[in-house]
This record gives sequence, C-alpha cells and structure tokens, in this order.
Amino acid sequence: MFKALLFAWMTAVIVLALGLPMVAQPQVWYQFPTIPALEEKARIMFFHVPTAWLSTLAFIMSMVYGIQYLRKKNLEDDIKSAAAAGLGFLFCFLATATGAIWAKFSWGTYWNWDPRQTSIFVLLLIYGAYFALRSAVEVEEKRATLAAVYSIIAAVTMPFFMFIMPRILASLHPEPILNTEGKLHMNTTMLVVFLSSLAGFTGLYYWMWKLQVKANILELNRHS
Amino acid sequence: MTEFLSQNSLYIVLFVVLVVWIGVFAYLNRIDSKIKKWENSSKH
Repeated sequence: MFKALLFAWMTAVIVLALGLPMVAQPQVWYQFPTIPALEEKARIMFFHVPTAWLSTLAFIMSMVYGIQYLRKKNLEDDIKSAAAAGLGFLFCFLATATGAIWAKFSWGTYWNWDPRQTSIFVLLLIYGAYFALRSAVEVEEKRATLAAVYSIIAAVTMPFFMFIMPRILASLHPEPILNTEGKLHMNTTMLVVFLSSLAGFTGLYYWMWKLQVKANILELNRHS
Repeated sequence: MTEFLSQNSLYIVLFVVLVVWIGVFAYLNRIDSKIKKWENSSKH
C-alpha cells in the first residue's frame, strides 16, 4: 500500500512539476509564475532542493542513531545510523550533481567553487571520511562506537556548511527558500507541488532507508 | 547541443530528473544484489 501510494504520489509530482505551464502573470490555478533569471530552469528546484533536504535529514538521523548506539550499545542502532549516513551521502552527491548541471546552463560552467559548491563539497569529504573510518575498523563494537562519535561531530558541522557558510559569503546561487527577506517567490500551486515533492522524496528516502537497514540486519544475524 | 539545451531549458530539468532517478535506482539495485547474494549463499 505504502509503495503504491508513493509511486502514484511521485508520478503526480513529476508530471505536475514538468507539465504545468509557466507564465509571467498566472491567471488560473494550474499556472506557475515565471521566476526572473531562472525561467523554465526554476523547475529544477522540485528535484534539486529535496535531494539537499534529504541529505540534511539523513545526516541528522545518522547522528540521532549514533547517540542511541552510544547510550544502549545495540548494533542495530549502528546499522540504522550507517544506513542514514549512506543515504545522506547519496543525496548530497545528487544535490551536487544536479546543482552542477544547473550551473552549466546558468553560470556557463559545471563547477566554479561558488560558496555553495565549496561547502557541499566539504560536506561530501566529511562523510566520505565517515565511510573510510568504518571500513578501517574490523571489530564491530569498536567500529560502531567510533562511527557513532564521528557521526555526531560530522552532523554538528553540517548546519554550518549547509546553511551558514553559503549565506555569509557572496554567492551566485539563487536565493534559497529560507531567504533573508523571509519571502517565498512562488504562487500557491508552485508551493503545493514543491511541498508535495519534499513529502514524496521523504517517503522515498524512508523506504530506501528501511530496505538498507533490513538488508544489513540480515547480514548481522547471519554473521552472529 | 549546449546551445539547444540553453534554448530549451525544460530538457535540462529532464536531465536533472534523470540523474536523480539513476542515483535512486543504482542504490536500490545495490541493496537488491546484496540480498540476492545472501539468498544464494543460504541455499547452498
């Protein structure tokens, strides 16, 4: 049921995000307003922003299960933490890749070390080191403890790279949803599709995370 | 190609959707092959 609903939801989001017309002055409910400088490319936000949101959510989840592991010493919490970090890395990479594609057609180059690109790159390195650390330790309990501590430290740095650094330095990145003016540059239809996309991607993330956790618990039980 | 995409930017959005889809599919495929490996090893 959940999977069928998720499939229908995401299909609707993709169709609406790509299909609804974009006009300068929307007259009817099914039209999106044209966002200056972005134009049709503004539709990217329905897919690019959710990937960035999911990486934030996943890194926080990784920290929460890391703390849980340190409190209870249950290896299943370590598995949940690692699965969240893995998905966080995937979505962080996808946010970087989709951002680079947009940059090519807006800035003329895939990569130009803009503060946003630099900060997400550093975040990728930080979480890349998390997996290097995990694979370097063979004893399960020791690996879980080290990874839990690292996931807490890494998650503490995440808001700085995701939210603070790109805002204190001059960036060419379009004004994010959480902007200094506190204004949303969308009409209601656009906002509904955007929030539906965020919800759909979050559901997709939850499904992927549960699958990864199940697979890793099976592996743990086979070895023990 | 770049010029065509600049003039028809909806295709850039399609390309972005494709990248996200490939990423999600590759991840799910990885989990699937992991489970298959254990299924096969538990049969022997």
